[in-house]
Amino acid sequence: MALRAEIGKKLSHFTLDVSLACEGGKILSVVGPSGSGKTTILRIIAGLDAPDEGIITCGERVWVNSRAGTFLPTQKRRLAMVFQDFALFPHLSVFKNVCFAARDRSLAEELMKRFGIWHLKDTRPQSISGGERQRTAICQALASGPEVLLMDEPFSALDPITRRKLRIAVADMKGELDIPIIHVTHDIREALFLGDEIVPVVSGKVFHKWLLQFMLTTRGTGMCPDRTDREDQGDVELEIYDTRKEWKR
Amino acid sequence: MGTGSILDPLWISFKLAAATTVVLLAAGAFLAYLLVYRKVPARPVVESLISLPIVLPPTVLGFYLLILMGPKGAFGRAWEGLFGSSLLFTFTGIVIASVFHSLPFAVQPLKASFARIDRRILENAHVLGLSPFKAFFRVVVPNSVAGFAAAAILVFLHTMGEFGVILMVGGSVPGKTKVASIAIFEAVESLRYRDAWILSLVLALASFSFLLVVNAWNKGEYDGLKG
Repeated sequence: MALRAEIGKKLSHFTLDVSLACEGGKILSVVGPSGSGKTTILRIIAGLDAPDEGIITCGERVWVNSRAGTFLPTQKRRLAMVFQDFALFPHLSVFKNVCFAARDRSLAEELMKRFGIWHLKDTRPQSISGGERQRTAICQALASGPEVLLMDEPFSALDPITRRKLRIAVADMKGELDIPIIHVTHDIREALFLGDEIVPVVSGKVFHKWLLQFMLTTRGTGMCPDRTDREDQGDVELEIYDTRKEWKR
Repeated sequence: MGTGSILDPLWISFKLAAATTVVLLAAGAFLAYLLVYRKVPARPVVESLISLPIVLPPTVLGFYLLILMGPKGAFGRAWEGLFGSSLLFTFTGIVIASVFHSLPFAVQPLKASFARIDRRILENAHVLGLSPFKAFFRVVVPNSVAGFAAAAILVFLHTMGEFGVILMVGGSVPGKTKVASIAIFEAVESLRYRDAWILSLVLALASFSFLLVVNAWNKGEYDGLKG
């Protein structure tokens, strides 16, 4: 199943105008500086915001078609979203959070064990660390059995070690899930690490897509690090960040 | 007047306060939800109307309700058409009047409580497949327990002490609409100070006990800086 989105929306400083497509079992990373419209793209796909114009389809189902006046409410889209600030339910324990929309409790338990948070099952989200909360949010999203997974800067609030562990966990699970995963980040390293396809977005427009695609296809060849060594290569990191500066010109 | 009949107005006040609280927790939550989470046309007008009973003299509100609920009023005529009886000078009539009078005491704390809820968790609930109706009961209500408790206490105590509105709409029908505050007024007017003392003392002690429980429950929240 593939997710396809053509989105147009007038924002306060620019007009968002992007086209995305992501196949099942793949991660599409939308990368760009803060305020470039990345989160708005996710919110529109989730149905939390409406586009001024556009079409969003998931497989055969039409979620949005502005010309036909179609707008499927968020709760009917069968998706899950990992929010940047976790958005866990403070009145529920970690286990109940994961079970909130779970199809079965055994899946919730299995996911929690896999992500190493089973021992926190009776704890409230406000009493656990940022990394544990983020793992809870990922488990909650996966336990709901979504047809599309959206991740909004999922690792930005984490320390480098936890961030690395969670990136690896997410990268490992994408093949098993076989659903489109749209991942938004301002960190090019993260996009290169996770993304099967990368869409750079600056001021609401897709910008120099070929550059990151080039980096993606040459990763591990010396021009760009591969998944095993990318985190430790400071020089490459600088080089990539220089590229990002170039976007802003 | 025997002791049993002295306490009758207290029982009517209690029933009135309980009924008003139940109705207003539901109606207040609905209005607060609309005001916090939905686009409301002419919002300043709606919010001012809801808050009006706080500043309006009870007799003014009571007068308007008397006209509206009377045999020539739109609401009174509709009620009579539906149920075949008048609303004025009945227990149901004073419950409706109390609901209008105490409306802001339910809506304001609930509105504040709903507004404190992080919108992202509500969005997350929708993303996870919950309709706004289900999300209200599974996310908004459990995260607004303090707001519901505050609304219930304020409405209950405010209704227990209601006087002007009840007198205008319900008069003072013994066993039906004669609430404690009206009974106290009548006792003082007819120099029955013993009755006034008993009713006042019970009302004051009940209100104080209620507030004591609430404050004991909230103990520790404002214990000042320690260390």
